[in-house]
Amino acid sequence: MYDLNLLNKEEKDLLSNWEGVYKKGLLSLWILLSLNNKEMSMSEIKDFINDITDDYLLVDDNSIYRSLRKFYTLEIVDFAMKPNSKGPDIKIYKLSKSGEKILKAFIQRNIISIYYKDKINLLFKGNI
Amino acid sequence: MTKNIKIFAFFSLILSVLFFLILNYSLANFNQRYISYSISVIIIILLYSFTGEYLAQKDNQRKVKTNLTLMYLITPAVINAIIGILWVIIFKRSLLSLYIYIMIIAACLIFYIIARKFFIKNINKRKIFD
Repeated sequence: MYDLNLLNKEEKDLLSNWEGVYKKGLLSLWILLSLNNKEMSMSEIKDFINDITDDYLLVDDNSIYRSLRKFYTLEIVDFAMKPNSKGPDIKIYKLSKSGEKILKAFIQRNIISIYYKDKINLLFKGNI
Repeated sequence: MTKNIKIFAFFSLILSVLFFLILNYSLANFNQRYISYSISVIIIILLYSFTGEYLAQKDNQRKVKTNLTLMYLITPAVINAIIGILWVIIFKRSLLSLYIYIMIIAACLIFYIIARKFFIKNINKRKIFD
């Protein structure tokens, strides 16, 4: 892990701004990835994202809920109600066929075809 | 088009016909009738709003590709303008009214085209993945 003490206050501020925008852009990817071949409730999606990113992406309930609501309207995700003995029924989300296709295309076009290239890996390594 | 939009379109048609009947009658007797005309117009506008609001709440955006919010806004405007054009032709009213109604339909068409460009369903394309 990069030692943040090597950055001065201004650099830390710039890095924090950049990371904020970058992480915000990643939320949709992680939500859809969490539902890839799995069905999950909102809290399970949140735990999955926090867990798989080692708490790098600490997402709040509202952000996930807002995204899921939009994805549901756009038919990217579906949900079913699951009875809950402890309280109100829980929405269990899953990717729709359309969502699966979009996620697959996104990963192929924006992740695999870019970050999996040796050239790009060398570029990253040169900066570490 | 959803069932609720069709109901709203039919309701708008009835209200528009009613509106122009009242307008026609009031123009013939304007001095005596302007208060009742104004009240009728307010009632009709309120009926439009409440019915639209009620039907829109019961509607499901997920079911259709079109932007339902926009459809609930432009449907009464277009129907009212079409009835207005018929009113001008049948009762030989001023051509200025005719131009205004044609412009209303054109404006609705422009809104529709713009919305199709910037929105998917009723969600701004730029805000889907932000």
